[in-house]
Amino acid sequence: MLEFYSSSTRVVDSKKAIAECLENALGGKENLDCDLIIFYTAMGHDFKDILTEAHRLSPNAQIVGCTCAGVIGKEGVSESMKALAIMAIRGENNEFAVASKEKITGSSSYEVAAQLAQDLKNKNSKINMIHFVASGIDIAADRAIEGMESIFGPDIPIFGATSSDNMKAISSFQFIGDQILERGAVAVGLADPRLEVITQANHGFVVAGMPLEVTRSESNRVFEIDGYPAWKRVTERLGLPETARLADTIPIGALAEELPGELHEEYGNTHILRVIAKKQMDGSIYMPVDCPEGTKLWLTKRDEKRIFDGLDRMVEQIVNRCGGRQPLAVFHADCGARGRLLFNRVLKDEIVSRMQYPLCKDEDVPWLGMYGFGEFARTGGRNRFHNYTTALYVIVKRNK
Amino acid sequence: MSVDRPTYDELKAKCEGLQQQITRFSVVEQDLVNTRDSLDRELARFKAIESFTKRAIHATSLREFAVITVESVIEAFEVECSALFTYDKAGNSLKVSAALGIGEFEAEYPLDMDWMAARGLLKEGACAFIEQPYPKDPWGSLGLCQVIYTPYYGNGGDLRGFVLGGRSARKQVYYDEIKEELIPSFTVFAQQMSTLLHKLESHEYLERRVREQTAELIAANAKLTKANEYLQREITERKRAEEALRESGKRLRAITNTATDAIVLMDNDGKISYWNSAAEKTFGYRSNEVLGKELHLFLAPQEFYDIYKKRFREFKKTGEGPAAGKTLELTAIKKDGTKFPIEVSVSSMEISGKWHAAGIIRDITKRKKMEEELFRVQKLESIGVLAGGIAHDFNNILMGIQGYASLMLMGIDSSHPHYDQLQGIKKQVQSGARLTSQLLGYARKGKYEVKPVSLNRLVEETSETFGRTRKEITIHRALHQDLFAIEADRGQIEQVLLNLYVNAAAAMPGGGSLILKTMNTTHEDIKGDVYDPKSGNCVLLTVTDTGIGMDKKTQKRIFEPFFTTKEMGRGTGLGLASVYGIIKAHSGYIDVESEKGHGTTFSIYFPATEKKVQKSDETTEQFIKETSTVLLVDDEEIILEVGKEMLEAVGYRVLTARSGKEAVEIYKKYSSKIDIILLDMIMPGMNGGEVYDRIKETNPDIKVLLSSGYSIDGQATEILERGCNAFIQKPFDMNELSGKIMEILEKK
Ligand SMILES: Nc1ncnc2c1ncn2[C@@H]1O[C@H](COP(=O)(O)OP(=O)(O)OP(=O)(O)O)[C@@H](O)[C@H]1O
Ligand SMILES: [Mg+2]
Repeated sequence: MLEFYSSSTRVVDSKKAIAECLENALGGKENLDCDLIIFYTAMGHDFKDILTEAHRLSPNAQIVGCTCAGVIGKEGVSESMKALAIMAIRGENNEFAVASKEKITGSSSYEVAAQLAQDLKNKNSKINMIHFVASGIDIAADRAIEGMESIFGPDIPIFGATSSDNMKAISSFQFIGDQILERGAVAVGLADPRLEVITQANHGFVVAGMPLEVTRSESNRVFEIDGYPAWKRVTERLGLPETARLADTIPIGALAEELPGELHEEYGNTHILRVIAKKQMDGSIYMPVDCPEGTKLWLTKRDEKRIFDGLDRMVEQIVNRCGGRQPLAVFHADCGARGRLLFNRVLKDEIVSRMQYPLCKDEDVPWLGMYGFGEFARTGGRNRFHNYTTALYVIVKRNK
Repeated sequence: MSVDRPTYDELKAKCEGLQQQITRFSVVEQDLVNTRDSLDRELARFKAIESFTKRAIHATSLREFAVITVESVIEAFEVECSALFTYDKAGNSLKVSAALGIGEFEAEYPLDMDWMAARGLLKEGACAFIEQPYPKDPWGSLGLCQVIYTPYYGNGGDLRGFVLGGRSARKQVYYDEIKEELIPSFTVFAQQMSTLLHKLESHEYLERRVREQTAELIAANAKLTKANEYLQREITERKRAEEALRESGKRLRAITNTATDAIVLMDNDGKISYWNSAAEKTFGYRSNEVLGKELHLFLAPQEFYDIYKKRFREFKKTGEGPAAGKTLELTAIKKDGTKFPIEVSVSSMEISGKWHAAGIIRDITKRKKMEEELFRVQKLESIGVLAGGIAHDFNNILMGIQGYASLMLMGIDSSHPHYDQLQGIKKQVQSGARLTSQLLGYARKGKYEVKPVSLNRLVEETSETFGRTRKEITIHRALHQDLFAIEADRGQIEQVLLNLYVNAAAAMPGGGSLILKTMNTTHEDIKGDVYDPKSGNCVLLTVTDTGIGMDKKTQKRIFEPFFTTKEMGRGTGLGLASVYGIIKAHSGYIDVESEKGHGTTFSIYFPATEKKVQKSDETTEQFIKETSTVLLVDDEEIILEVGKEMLEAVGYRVLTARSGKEAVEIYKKYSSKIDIILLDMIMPGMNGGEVYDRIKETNPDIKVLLSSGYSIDGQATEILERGCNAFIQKPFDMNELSGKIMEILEKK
């Protein structure tokens, strides 16, 4: 059975940082070898140093990871530029597989994700859950989900996040072996039949005002909204000048799509948020999902009370779904906008402990989380892509 | 009742108005969040400074401290890279104590102080923030953008270095901008750091030096061991070379005795007309076999026939040719077919009015062989130089360790926990010094202070001291009353004598007699056949013991370095090798006679001198407090440091110069204040000898004590002959040094 170990650190020397993580996770210097290392790192680290040192210390481990705007471990939150967190996994060769693809864009998301999934399946046909990270900047995440589902079927849980930089939306990186990819996708398929993953996501935004309507688009690139150039229309609605940067818009408000009525209860919200991933010089914008003409986009505002309430409700639901089973490991993706951009240190620590305490109680549960651009989690029995949410992926023993 | 139902348009307008309000609130709210965030960050920076203090105070070395510093800069100030520079005043340059994230650094970072000054960076406490360094700036050239840095100062306000944080241009885009807001906390950080650094430094200084020096000692030891191995490998070869040389010497003499070159005459047609008996011997043909025949047909290898004929014709016509009037080396052939090297010279002459070519031919087989042997002997010489060089380095290191150990001992008594270790270090240094002096002896590089001395006196003194420690041995002395004086280095002759005594004692474990005789004699008494003693008077010393003796095989090898019959770890086998080296350096000669079971006699010859023995000057072993000023000149930093501290500890004022040039300059400036110069002999650039001459020009009475790890043969002696007062060999300790200086200063 797969065994999970986690650790995170703020140590600034990249080699020392990964060494410390491995030592703390695996309990001492004696045996740092393991079979799989998943790591999330902030942009300030020397990625090459991390990869070579990890390989040197754990020569038999496969290594995957991505960049992010901050990490969340059982030790707490770090949004420093030198934050690093890992999940080290020990298990049999036939209990997992890793695969990667070098280039994933808005228009190629379906095909690339399908190929990636096919690679995984070729390596191990028993895979029953997928941890997925991909460049968060120009991917059409819903198409990527469909691509993977085309190989594994719609029931396979896909969890993970789109990688990010520190919310500058310039570039992000993915890692596999000793490779550093800039616009790639990396997937880990777990194939331990005794395990299952419980996923859930929640945001806390309220809709404000009338919807906008996409009037010209191409896949996930939107040219016009309400007949105006897209960026002009959005900034106008936000009360910002057209010269505003993307990062300026993120904390003020987000665009959202309405969810089908039957999902409102489970999701705790009527709308699912959509963060603009990139803005082009011509005034068009990239959305993280496909946006056909006619799509209605609502402007939403964050609401602190709803964020906390929603979180409590979500964690309670997860605890219920665990039904007394102790979590073996928790993966966690949080929207970068919920980090420093939204909450100060005190509130963030509060949020994290409101998740960790009910789930883990006083147990030492391995926990690997990051602040990314967007989150993959199942809602309404379907894999979905979310923005602005806290998404938790709790690995437990499968019920008999 | 009529209620004013708002129209759709009215509602829409209201809704939009509300929406705009929401937006405005959002912006205000975001401002609040941002402010909260920057407060958060400032708080975090100060927390990080606090945790830096907690970590750094436990640092046990400067290196560790520097690493903690740069790591903390990165953590506290959200920068990507950091470096801690130490300012080197002498070189006006910056050294990197630690750096992180900047990639490979040169150990020395060139700093243009003018540039710094122009930027206002040398003002006390000035912390600076540079948004975008010019690529050719010192910072920009490291690929940095957004640099924040500040100088830090020592207790006396002197510039000690800089601490820097920065971001690489490569990742600049990902960082939030940093601005002047960092300056207050960065300044606090730097101040905190320099305070901690000062604490650490004063605590660590002495300990570190001893540690470093010990490490060097170990390294030097390894070097020595290696050199020893190399030497040992060469021994066999050396032995063979010397034996062959001795053989050749005999043969060469035989040849010169009969003194014969082959002489051959040829007539106009190239036919042999004369063939002397030496030619018969050389080539194996009797004269009746060759007369009237062409020379080349039986003397030259067939492949040279054509060349020979051509040359002969040319020579006949012009009197010119490669062998005309010169000597030419060729290969010839004997009657029995063996080829061998010859040396030929040809000239033409008239005999009875007829033209003749005369060839003088010498068999140079032996000479060729000797040349090769000489070459090998020269190679051995170069090993000697190598050994000497190592001993020199080694002595400098020992000097440093010795010095620090003495200094540390000065401040503590025997109850101190480190007292025993320090004494131990001193002991080790002394045994190290013994080893190097043996090695120097072998390398014949230790001839320091040659004066006319009385061998009798040396024998008396040394044997008396030796006898006191070996009661089981009876010493008999038969010393010639009017023994000639010899020119020698006292210390070295003492080393020779002691080595011989110790060996004799070792050969008489149950006790016995040691008989020491001296007499006057001449060079003709010397029986060695390879060595050509200078003709004239000699002094002979014999050292005889009644011990176990040696067989012939052992006798042949005793002078080889590292030859010993003692068990592992007991003998170095350097004793007699150094005896041999020293005696040779004194143009002397040593021989041994022994029979197994019947004792051993060593005979040592020294050339006598006409010069008178000077009154020996006793050295006093005590410190005196003097307020004289010493100019200490040495190119080795460590010697300067240690020497200065030693001299100051016994009350001298000390000026230092780290090169000959500097010494001359300093002397010019302060000549009235300087009482004595302690001068290193071998330095790059202007060496001790030149310095001595220069200074002597300005002040012919200047007092100079020459020092060296070794001396290039004769160089020290030369300087001493030019009037330099005395010589001291490194490593010296406080007693020796202050003794010598006092002695010179007192001699008016
Ligand atoms: N007086 C002597 N009687 C007998 N053998 C001697 C005598 N002097 C020297 N030897 C022999 O010559 C060898 C070399 O002597 P040498 O002084 O070079 O080295 P060592 O005495 O063995 O070592 P060390 O001098 O370092 O203690 C000795 O080991 C011993 O065998
Ligand atoms: Mg000996």
